[in-house]
Amino acid sequence: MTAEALVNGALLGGLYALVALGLSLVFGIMRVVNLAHGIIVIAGAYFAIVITRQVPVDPLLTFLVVGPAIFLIAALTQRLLLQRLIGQSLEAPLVATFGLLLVGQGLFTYVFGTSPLSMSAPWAQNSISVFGMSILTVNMVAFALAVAVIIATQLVLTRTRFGAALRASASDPETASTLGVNINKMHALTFGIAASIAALAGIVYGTGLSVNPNDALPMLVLGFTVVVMGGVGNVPGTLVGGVLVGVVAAAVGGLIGPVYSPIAVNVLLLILLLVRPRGLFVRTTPRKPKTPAVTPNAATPAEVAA
Amino acid sequence: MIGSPKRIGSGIAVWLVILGVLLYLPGHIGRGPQEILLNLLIWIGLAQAWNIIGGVGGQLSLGHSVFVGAGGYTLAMMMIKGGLSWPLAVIGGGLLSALLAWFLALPLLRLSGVYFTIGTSAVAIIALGWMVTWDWTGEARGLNIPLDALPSKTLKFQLIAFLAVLCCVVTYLILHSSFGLRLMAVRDDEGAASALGVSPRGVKAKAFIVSAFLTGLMGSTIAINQASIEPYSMFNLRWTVTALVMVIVGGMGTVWGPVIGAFIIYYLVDRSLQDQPVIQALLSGVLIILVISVAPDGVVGLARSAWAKVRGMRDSGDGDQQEPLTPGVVAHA
Amino acid sequence: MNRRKSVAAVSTVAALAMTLAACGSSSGGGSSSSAAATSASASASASASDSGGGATGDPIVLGTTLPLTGPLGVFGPPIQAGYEQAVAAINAAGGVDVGGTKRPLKLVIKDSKSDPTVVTSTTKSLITDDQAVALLGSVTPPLTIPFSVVADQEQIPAISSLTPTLAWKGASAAGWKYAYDVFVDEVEQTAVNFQASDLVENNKKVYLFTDTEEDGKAMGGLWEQQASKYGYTIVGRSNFPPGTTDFTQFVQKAKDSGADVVIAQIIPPDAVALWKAMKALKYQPKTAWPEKAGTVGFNQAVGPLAEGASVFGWWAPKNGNEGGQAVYDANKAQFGDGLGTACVIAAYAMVQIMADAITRAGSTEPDAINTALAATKDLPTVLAKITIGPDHRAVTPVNAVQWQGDAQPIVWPADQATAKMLAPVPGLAP
Repeated sequence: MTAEALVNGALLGGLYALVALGLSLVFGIMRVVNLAHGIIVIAGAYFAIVITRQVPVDPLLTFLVVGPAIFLIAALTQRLLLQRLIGQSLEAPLVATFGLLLVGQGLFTYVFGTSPLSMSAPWAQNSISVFGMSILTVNMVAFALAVAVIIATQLVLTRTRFGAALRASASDPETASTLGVNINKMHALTFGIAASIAALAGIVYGTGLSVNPNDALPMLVLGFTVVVMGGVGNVPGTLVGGVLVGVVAAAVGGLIGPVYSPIAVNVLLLILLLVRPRGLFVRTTPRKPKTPAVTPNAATPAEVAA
Repeated sequence: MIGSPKRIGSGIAVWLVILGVLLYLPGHIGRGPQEILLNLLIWIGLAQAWNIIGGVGGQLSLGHSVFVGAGGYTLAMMMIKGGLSWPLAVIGGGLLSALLAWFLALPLLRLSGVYFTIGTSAVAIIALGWMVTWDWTGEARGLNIPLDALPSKTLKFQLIAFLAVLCCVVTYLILHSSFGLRLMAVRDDEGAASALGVSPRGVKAKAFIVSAFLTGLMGSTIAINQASIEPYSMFNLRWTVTALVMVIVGGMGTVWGPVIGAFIIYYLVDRSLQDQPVIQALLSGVLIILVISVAPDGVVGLARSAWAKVRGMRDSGDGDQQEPLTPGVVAHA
Repeated sequence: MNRRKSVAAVSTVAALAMTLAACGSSSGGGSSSSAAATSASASASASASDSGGGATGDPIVLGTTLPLTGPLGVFGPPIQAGYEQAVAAINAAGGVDVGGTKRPLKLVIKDSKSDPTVVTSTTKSLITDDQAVALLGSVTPPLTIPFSVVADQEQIPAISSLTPTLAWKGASAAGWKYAYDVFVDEVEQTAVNFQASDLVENNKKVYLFTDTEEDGKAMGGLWEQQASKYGYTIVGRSNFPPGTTDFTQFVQKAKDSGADVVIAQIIPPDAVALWKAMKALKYQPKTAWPEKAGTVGFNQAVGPLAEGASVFGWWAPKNGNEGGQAVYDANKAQFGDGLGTACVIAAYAMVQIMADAITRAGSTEPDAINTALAATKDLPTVLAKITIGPDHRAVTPVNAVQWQGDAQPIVWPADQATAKMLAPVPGLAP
């Protein structure tokens, strides 16, 4: 294992963070485990592939069209379908989003087939030398985008009225709603924004790597791993989680062999779950580790605001 | 609730009658329907076993593929390397899964809610990652059980019918026992239950082990039915995800929910649409969304509330009733 | 639960069982050959398979379960097209001669979702619901082995292709009884990479990227065994779990080892990641082999980077086949000028072999067909000349193809080559 491998792994972690961020937002603010998250990432990539096949532009530019399109679709889905199910039980939105995952998978298999597809861009097929290490430019782009998106999200959540309303609707929906916050609107916006971040992740993923409809579940599992490592609902933590996954996979891959990378990542996940059930970087000591996931005011707002 | 011995007796009698009918069926129905019923029974057993920890216990485990795989692999190893007969190997599959669950329960049940779900899925991924590299169990090649060591088609059907009914009877007994009452109390309000002197972790661990034992038994019958097994399909997360969807669609924490859910998902969706491969996933997705939108408590929940309306009385606090797991967010529903 | 509910429950089960029985006997599910929406070239001749041409007797049902969806979904449509076209052609010519009566073939296709457990249940339903008297296989050992197990269990003859024959053979300790496999032998297949690399000047150093799937392990072992025989050295081998995204340090290792030949036996998405990493790290080997990933659609998956990627092939115009070129020409517009169309040909040949066995058996009794099938000798097909051995394998010749533009011309062996091998790999030029 070399320093080069670790740096590349860490930077690739930025892409993992970008994949996971939307999942974290939806769970943190809406308390919805969105099983369709992986297919949204893939949808972003497919939309971009359709565009770049027509107009030869840089894949990243397609986000100007793909982002709003995915935002609209997601916000509408939330409004028309999920809204009625949220709050009834944890399982109802879980199953509904599983249904959405199947619909998306069926649709994309029908339109694009099951072979992987990818886009090309100059920044995705080069490497530059930094301190004698060859660093893939695609990893640098992914990391820079992740940092930018995470800072922006954090600023919106902490420095704007909209962010305050979002946090209020997450921590105490009843009070927030009596104070004039439209919870349903907040949820639709959250779902839409989370989906368009996922779409951006998909565009980078589909350029640096490739996408196929059967990637939806592995993508979702990766997202969960990153979210839990960084702390559920903890926006900057997502980046830490992503980098951790990237570095551990690269280190174990180099020292023992890549076959053991997924095992190591998941063993670490289990250990972290047991030792720090709410993520590595939670400042407040956990309250009674009773039901952190379903106690609305335990996890998110405190850390989001921190 | 705890039923009187008489009522429990009549409840079990129902299942014995069903079992009797099922045992009689081979040779009296066509091979096609028998094959469909066999697969349906496997799914009923898996869904019902998952229901014990997931539905009655409220712990959404994604780790049950470990027990499917462990059951199947134990059976295959006992038959191939141990030269044992299949009945012993089936029991071995169940016992090893239970043992695994006993080990796993200790760390995993310290987690709750979504954390338990993610922790169990991590275990499932670790198990698959390990199995594809384990030389002793044939790595990714898997194992091939000699066909002449396997039970006849009739016997296989009867075995699977027996085990599927066993899963249902165990669930029925749990739901009508004081243990089941404690388990549901922990599911609905862990704090209150432990204040009343119930040990949440102990109760959940017992349910987890029973659920794993039954899943292991079903896993070993899957290996019997497959004859050739390999890790990617035996330890596939899909076993658990499908069972979970079946239980939720049918009705969590009820005896009939998993049965109805398995029928809907396996027979109505998967089986009936198999000649429309490309749109099958699409249609099954739509159907799942429709069912959960119309009946968030599953088909059994829907039937119950309809029944309650018909009888013109309020369905107050039946023990099997599904309680919302998210007390804090009901307000804006 | 009270007594009234219990009674209702029992009657529900009874009703359910009756529904199942009724459904099973009437509909049975499964699409007949005419339902193929995917294969355009087949649709022209599909009507022939329905009417049965000039055939008079009852149709003979052939059943197949194909990966139309799931990770192996790319292979479903070409195999389906091959089966349908062969059935249509045989029916147009009057059907299959069974003891003096001309009988049409009827093809039933079911989706296996690329899942071995679904293969088992759908294959059984082909036999029990659709009364298939013979079965046609799909692709890869993980799908073909459970398929063959069902054939042996139910004692219905079954023939597969596109499944390396040694891995398939190794799955049955006692030897297959009713199942057959017609494809390349892995020992010959793994030698192709070395023999074809000899076409260009290289330093005989090889780096292997293999995954933990069955073929990754088996082929990796064979390359290691065979390298010295062909004068090559394996300078490194990395094993990966499917789903690997970060190949950088291993590409760097391969580059540092100076290997001129890269052989990868990993799934398509991972091969895309590997190829992109090689491109970015400016590693351009003399020959590069994305086996299993580069077979179909690699040009769509990695775009211009696919140029010059090579893989083993199993059909050539001059490999001793009969009529293969016509099938190839009819399909290359749809499935590509390369191995996609070679899949069509392999599938087409399975129907020819089965039809020949049925005619020689003079009956549609599974045991009679099985006996005839085992005796298949020097049968000319569109794939190659087929002789089935005592181990139920028929080994077909191998070659090497290379992605050049959107086509995969044959580059090795010399007497069958349709193009010259490009080296060093142009798509990976820095």
